[in-house]
Amino acid sequence: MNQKAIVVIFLILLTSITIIGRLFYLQILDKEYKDLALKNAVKKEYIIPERGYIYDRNKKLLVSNLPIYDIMAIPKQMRAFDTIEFLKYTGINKETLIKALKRAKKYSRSKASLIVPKLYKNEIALLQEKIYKFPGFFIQRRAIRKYHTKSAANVLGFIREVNERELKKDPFYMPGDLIGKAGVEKSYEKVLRGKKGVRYFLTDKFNRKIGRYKNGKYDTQSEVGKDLQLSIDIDLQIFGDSLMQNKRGAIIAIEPATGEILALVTAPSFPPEFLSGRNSSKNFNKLFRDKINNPLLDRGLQGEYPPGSPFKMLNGLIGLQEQVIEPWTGFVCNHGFSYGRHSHMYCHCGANGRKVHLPWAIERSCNTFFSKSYLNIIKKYATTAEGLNVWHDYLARFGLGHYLHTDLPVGSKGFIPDSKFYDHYYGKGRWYASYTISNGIGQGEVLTTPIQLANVAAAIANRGYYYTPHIIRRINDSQKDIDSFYLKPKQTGIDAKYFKQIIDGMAAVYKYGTARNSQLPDIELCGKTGTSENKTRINGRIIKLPDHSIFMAFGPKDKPKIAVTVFVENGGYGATVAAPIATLIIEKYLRGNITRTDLLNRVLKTDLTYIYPKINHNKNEQ
Amino acid sequence: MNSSRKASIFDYDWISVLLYNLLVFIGIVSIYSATYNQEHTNILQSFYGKQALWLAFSYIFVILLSFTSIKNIKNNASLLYLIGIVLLILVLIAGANINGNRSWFRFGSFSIQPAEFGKLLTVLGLAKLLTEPDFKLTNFKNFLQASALILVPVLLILLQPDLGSAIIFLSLFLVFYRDGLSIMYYLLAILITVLFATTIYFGQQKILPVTIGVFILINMITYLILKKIFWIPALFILSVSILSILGTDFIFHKVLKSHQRNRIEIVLGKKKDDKGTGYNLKQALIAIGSGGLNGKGLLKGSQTKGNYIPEQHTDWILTVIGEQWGFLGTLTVVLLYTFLIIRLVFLAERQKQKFSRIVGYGLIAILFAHYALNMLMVIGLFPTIGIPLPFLSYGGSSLWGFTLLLFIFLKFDAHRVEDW
Repeated sequence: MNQKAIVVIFLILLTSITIIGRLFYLQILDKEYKDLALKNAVKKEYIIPERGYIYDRNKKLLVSNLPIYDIMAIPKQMRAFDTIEFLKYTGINKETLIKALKRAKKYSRSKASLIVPKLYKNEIALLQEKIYKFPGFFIQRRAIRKYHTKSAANVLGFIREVNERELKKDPFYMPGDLIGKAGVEKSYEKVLRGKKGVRYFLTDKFNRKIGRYKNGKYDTQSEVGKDLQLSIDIDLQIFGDSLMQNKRGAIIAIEPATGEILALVTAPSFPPEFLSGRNSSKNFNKLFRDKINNPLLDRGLQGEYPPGSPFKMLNGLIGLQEQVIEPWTGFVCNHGFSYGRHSHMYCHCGANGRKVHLPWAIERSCNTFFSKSYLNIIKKYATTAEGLNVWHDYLARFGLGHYLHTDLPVGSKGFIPDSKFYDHYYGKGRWYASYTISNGIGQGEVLTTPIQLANVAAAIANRGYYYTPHIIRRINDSQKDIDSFYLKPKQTGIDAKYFKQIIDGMAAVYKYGTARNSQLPDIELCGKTGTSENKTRINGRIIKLPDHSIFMAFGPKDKPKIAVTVFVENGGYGATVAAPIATLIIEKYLRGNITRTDLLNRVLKTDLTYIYPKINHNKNEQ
Repeated sequence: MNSSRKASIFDYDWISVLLYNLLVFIGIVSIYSATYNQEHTNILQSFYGKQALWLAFSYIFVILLSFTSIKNIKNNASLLYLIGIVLLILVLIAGANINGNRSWFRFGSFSIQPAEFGKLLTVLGLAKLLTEPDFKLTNFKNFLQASALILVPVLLILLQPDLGSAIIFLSLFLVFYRDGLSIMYYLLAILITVLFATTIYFGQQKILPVTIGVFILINMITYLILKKIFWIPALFILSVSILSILGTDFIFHKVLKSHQRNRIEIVLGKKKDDKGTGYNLKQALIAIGSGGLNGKGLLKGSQTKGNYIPEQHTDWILTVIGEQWGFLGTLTVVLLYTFLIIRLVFLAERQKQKFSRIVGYGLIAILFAHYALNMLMVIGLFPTIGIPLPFLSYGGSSLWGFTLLLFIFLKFDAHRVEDW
């Protein structure tokens, strides 16, 4: 064979060996390309399940889902279109459209961008039919919350798109996902959100789906979120809202036998849909900035107030349990009593130098009796510090001074002082029980939240134990998934027998005492008014503000079905505002209707809005 | 003078015919999977359907060819070459402008690329010229004539512009080697190419002194061994080298377009541009590399199905093979080409007629250039130029051009015993 032909063959073989060598390297040795191909082509798509519905205790639907539509566009696929027609169908203005399209093109030519967000079904109907006229545009459906009530925003909460922090914390979420931000939407987020499904798709270079990856072998199904049945009675809640109109404060109603919260009213409030739908961000900012009314504050859970006279019940109970007082112990009350050289505790129970016994002391809210009983509790022990701590621990067992751990995401601790607090304040060993005497009547350092006080009412109604107040009743119609913490009774450490005197006294409050004007015929109720002093410090001077009006009640006396606490900020004397509200709530819950319309009308007409700006004015000068 | 016997279609070299059919079959299956996702209303609108139709026409051409006398082909070779030149001129005037290139005649939905047929016609013209009486490539005037015969179509194609096809035409110079041109010319061409690439890579300032240094070193060694300095060839090579190095910058920056510069720099590893000019190559490497040993299976390639490589049914068809059938698939194709081209070398060598041997080597040069440059480009060893893989890539003109060239040679081969 010709020598040159052999050179040619050699050249051919050399080239082929080079090619084979390179292919061997690419396909066998180098593993990097396999990952790159997967990264290129396999895209995960999550199927977001429908969020669970929320019902009230009577299975009335409170929250469901509403489909909402976003108009999206992929710039690369867009063709010239009739702008005027598009604007007509969508109802947006030209500038908005131009801006949105510019933004979309800047973001990506081949990925979808949001053009018009959050349109309702009727707003999108026209475009939906004509969408074929606008290549590159498509309509994306998603869901927002639909509220079937204008009440209970503080309970229901709201959902929002997840933020950076939440994305980092929980790998469940992807940008754009919704997450509960308040109320049960937040505390039961994991129940409501369900389980996402995953689908793996093969995509082409434009990120378009071209088929299932491995025929869906790795796909998982989504699971719809579970429905919540709340313990609140929405009718009672709405009724509570109406009673609280033009006032600030809270109503808490609890079913003592279960700890279920029947109503959790905070005033002022706002309709829950305010924070859903198109203007949610704007509305949120509006509510957030309203520092005068502070509507985002749940006063029932977060508001800390001096509890006032209802707190006397606890000092009575602790005194009895500690056996420093007996059921028929009497303390002399002479418009109060003197406990130090220049210290006098005033009292307006009207005993005028007679001995006061427990039920009467409750009925007339005798300061002397409970202050003395408080002092006796502390003095029982070797040191004041020890005595105070015993007292503090009893109250802690009633759920005071620390978080109650309700199943709502917000709360406050309140405050019950212990020896450490006074050691810090006065110096160790440099204070005496008498320094703290205001604690005996629910003033002084003591602070409670309305729900803590309502829980105390439930504990008294139960004669010694309570269930931690909670808002959940059923999850998907079953108690199975409810945290067992809420289903176990908590003992207060006070024997059941000591409650009789206290409860009799509270019944007398209705019959003869401070709440006799609110009394409900036929049903025996127990209650205790409170009028808590509150002060604010302005320019270093302590200014006394109008008293908070407080009422704590439960009923019926023997088989209590409802325990209520009402707080009306700066409402004045407890019997005038809070007591009628509490009683109307009980009547509404037990009877379903209100017979005493005159009382109802009086409450509805009570308008305290004229007081608040003055207070805020003072506060703002701080 | 009577021919001893008439050759029939069955006298065609069956090994070549078999290899040809295997390649076109692999081609159609690959085109089918490369364009599987594209919508079409009927099979004849699909790429694989059309390719099958072009193949059917190819068979018809082959049959028609068997009725043509080889003498007619040989005698009219000059005319055929001229027709080719006229077509290449016409396409510059009447061709359809597709992406700034005038490479195609368009008849409705049907287009023809004259350059693909130009290869065949140039090979025939070259065979005719080289077999002229007293024609010697060692004769400088004859060498210039033969070079001009190749360079005229090259220039016309550069005007389209179609750099890939022009480079392919240059491969016809390989034919001269078999017909007496010294290997020195080829080594010189290789030297220029190497200097071009290294100058781009390292820069003129580094390469120039290194080259001169190496040159002095080589001469010193030669002197030490042979006690003699070859002044004339040495100075010639030095001046060519220096001119190449100095010319590189001019060609690279002034002649080449920016995308061509990018492609060269990407292959040299000087630049990374996976989203721009380097996108095709990067995606091609992903497709081939992810194929592994066995590949992902027919229609299972994620790169192929995702259309990540725009020209995957034409110039980049190897990526489809590499992804779906892995190393075993690409190895098979490489071996098929290697066998076919080497087989053609054997066939060319057994020709009694110089004319048919030159046609054979023309075919070998063109086929080899296509195969080598296309594959090297797809696996990232050669800058991206738009040339198809013969018999495999989608395209009627290319398939017909290669088929006719192959079968004209096979026909010559079948008639090799005849005295003509």
